[in-house]
Amino acid sequence: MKDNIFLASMVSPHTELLGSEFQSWDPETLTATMRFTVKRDVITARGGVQGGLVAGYLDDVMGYAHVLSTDGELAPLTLELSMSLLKPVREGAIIGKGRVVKAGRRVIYLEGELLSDDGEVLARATSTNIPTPRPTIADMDSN
Amino acid sequence: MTKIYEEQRSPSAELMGSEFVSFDKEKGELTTRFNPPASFASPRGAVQGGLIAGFLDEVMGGALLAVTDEQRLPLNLDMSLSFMRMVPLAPIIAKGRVVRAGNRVAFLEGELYDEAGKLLARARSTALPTPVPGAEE
Repeated sequence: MKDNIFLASMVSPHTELLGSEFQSWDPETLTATMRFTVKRDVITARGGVQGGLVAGYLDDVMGYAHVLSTDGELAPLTLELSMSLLKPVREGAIIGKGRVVKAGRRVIYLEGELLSDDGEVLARATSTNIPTPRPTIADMDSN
Repeated sequence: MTKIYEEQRSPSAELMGSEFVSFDKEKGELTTRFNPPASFASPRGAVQGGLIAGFLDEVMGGALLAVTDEQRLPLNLDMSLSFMRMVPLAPIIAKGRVVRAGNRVAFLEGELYDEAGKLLARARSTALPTPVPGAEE
């Protein structure tokens, strides 16, 4: 695997909120694996992550898959995202997997899953995106 | 209705800073305001797409709570989202509606608007209506 030097520049304000940590990239299956530390801030009275916010983790790992598949050149701008929430996502460590299903010139299809530490599927998503040049925090500062 | 915005706020509701604006009983529609926290930003300088769903879930959930006289909250099964425009790190208006609330399933929808009234994002959700966590049945 090539050194993904740009990974350091993938840091974003939401990285902290989601407790995102990149783990690995499989260029054969176009799959990115991440680890998230779910914080108490995103938990509801039910004791799991608020349903909507679950999409934050899924979007993050699906985005990584697309960015890595383009060697850091492009990033997906999400148009549509559908998810199924299979089990509550609890505070603590979870695994995210994101995969590029199809990357066309104009449209990118991605999918993602969140798993518990023992491999149970907690949530899954598919998304439709358009590719854009990858923004970085440096762009944010110059805005 | 406004009192649920003062009591029993979960950490996630606190984080998103939901503020009650109005509730239209006839339409089953709740309107709230949010001020997205800086920690929700992506490198694009706007709210990360996935996290946009947090605001929509919050307002759709509030609508079900209001429509059921504070008896039921949605446990989401499926949610689908369309992102029309970037959601800025600035105050936004959210509208959530109960399309149908049966005993076993609730269908909800919601939208986010900027302060000029432009549609930013919308959501549909299929959910189980459950008793409010912590409430007496």
